[in-house]
Amino acid sequence: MHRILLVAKREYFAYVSAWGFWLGLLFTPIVLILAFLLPSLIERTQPARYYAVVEVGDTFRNELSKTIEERRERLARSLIENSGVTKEDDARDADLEKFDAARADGKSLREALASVNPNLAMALQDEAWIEIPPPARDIDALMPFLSGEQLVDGPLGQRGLFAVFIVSDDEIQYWSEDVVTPTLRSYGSSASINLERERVFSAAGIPSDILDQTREDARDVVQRSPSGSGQAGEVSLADRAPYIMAAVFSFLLWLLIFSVVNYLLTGTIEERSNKIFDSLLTSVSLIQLMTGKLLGVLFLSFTLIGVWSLSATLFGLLGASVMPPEIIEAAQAGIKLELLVPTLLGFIFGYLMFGAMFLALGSLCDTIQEAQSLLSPIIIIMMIPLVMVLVSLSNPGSPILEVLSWVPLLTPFLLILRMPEGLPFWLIALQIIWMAGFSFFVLWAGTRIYRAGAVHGAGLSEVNAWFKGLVGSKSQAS
Amino acid sequence: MVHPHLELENVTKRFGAFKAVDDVSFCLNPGEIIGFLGPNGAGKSTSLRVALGIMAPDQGRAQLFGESPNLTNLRRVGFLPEERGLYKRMSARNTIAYFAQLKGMKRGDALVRADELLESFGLSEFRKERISRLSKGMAQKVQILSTLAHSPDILILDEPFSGLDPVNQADLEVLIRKENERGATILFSTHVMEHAERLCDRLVLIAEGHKMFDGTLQEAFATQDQRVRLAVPNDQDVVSLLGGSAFDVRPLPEQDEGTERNWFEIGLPQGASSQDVLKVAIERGLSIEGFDPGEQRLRDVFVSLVAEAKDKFGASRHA
Repeated sequence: MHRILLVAKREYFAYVSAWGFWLGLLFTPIVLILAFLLPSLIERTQPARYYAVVEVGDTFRNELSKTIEERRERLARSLIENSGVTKEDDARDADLEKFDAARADGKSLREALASVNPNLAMALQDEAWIEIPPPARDIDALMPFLSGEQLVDGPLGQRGLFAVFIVSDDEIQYWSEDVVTPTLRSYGSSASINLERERVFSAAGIPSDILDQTREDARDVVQRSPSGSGQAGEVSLADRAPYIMAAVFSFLLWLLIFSVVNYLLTGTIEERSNKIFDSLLTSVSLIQLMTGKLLGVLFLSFTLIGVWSLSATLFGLLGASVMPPEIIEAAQAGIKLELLVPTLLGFIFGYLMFGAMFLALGSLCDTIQEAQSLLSPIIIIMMIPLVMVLVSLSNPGSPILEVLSWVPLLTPFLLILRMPEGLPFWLIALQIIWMAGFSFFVLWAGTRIYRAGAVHGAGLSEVNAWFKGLVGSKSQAS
Repeated sequence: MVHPHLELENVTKRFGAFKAVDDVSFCLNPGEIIGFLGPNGAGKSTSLRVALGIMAPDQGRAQLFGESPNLTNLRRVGFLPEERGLYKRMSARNTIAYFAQLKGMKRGDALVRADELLESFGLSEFRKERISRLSKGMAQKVQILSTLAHSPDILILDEPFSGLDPVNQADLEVLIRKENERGATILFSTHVMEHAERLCDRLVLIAEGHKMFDGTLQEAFATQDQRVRLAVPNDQDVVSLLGGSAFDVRPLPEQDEGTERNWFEIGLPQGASSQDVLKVAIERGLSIEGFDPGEQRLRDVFVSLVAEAKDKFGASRHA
């Protein structure tokens, strides 16, 4: 045991004293947080854009403004509706009433949201589209403004003209230098449909607000579930939170395992290329060496977990005031023991499986370039859990997810994704036993390959010869 | 009963169809310095790896202190492998201490010992330097020090002189003698015969996977015919004057142009020395004008035995 700990200690300090480890350790959460916040950050940092409408009269212009305002209003209401994951329905309805009352008093959207919850007001993005009078009436004269050669005046000062709608009897032209962003164009389409609907209804003698009326009078479709946590099984974000947290845990487990097993690969390549094996193997047994290395990097992963958990806690504490409350509530509702236990077991067995594989591969290679050719099939397998994380969010009961969760190399990640489905205990136990059994098989096979590489100097040529022999014997058999 | 410190008994080791070591036996007795000689690819390193239990033999057995190699008796061994290297990011001091700890020393003692060794080998100013920043020779010294930091009873050094400059080679010879005086039994492999001639009590020569010789330096010389060269005035008939003696005399082509003397090559029988030739020549009235004792070199023995091994076993080794 003493020798194993010595090897483990050396491994641990070799990596923990390298600046690259700390850079990766600190960089990963930053990248994750940025990736998480990036879409909303992009949206928020997008400067307000000017647009203009050229038409005879102002029918389309008014309808477009109304459409944009209504979308923004719906966004504000959805912030209130989604804000209280664990809130009772009555409390949420009271918030909405408060918001409506503030709007009725003539308060702006932001002021109305602030009257409910100041954090929600901060979450509402600024007005993204500002209408200005058209600087010219025909497209040739408007071109310099659209291309940015000339600026236009508006409430936010001089800016480029983002888009122009040119309305005629038979079509509405949408002109913009930006050919990608669809938002304003889709608002224009909605406004056009609304106008046409009004025209048709009016011709048929149907009141123009009939649609709004029918929308208000229609019965709500309330999502309920036998396991729904709301009143009478009503489904809330609290019920969806376990699926989200399972996806988060599965991804973090994937990230953790593949961050650390890489150290086993590079460390073993170093020992092989620097011819250290013989010196070590007269002092420790091969099994002790492997165990020590696995333990050392396991301690390293504990350091990662520790620092990441600490960062998350600090981030949570410091950011609690500005973080959307639904995220905090979803995290509270989603982190449960039945998710934590499979995550822990998945980490242990996943680490053992992939750790043994990477150790074995490293013992066969003198350079990282050599290792890359052997790593290709493993990398393909490694990508599957990432795809399945996305699948699980839209279709957690997918039969593909169920089948793939029985592939032992994927079980650590995919079992977690299936946990919110309420699997029976015997099934969970069976998958864990299957995963554990396969882990020991991989350890056994990994030890044999490690011995071939470390003691007998087997390398890529031997692997190629083995594959050729395998293919040869199969073709002979057929 | 005193066991040899290390013993190989009829060891054979194959790698696929290639027979790296074939029926090799030898032992290392307490207090000896043995030179383990052989050309590249002879099977020296494989024999040593089998002796230390790094790999198992296909046939035969290896014994360390009278029992199979295991981590307990390997604690009494210091091994410098042929293909050597160290952790590049570790300091010289920590490297020596780490390997000493793996051999059972406590961390504090190991660090003190590392400092002592680095000091005595003039490396103390580099004690905190990473191995990657040391010269190749310095790194090799650090590895040698790592091998002996735990004061082992046996030192097995596989090609310890390769990669060292002449000054460091001389230092290493001194170190080997010191370790032997301390009581360590030493085996080192080399294909540089001069080191073996200067240091060894006994030699084991291996070629083509077979042991070709096991004995003292004198016994190694005795495996070869010794020849001396003698010059006498050209009016003296050496063949008839030495006729009837045990020596094999044959004239050599004229070498000293313009002189009036001839050279002869005289083969010595087993056990005879060059002094014996001089003695008989003087007794029989030869006027000796030139004498070359034809001092035997281990190199010649080595070349001869390797050639013999190639003839005998070269073809069958890859069978």
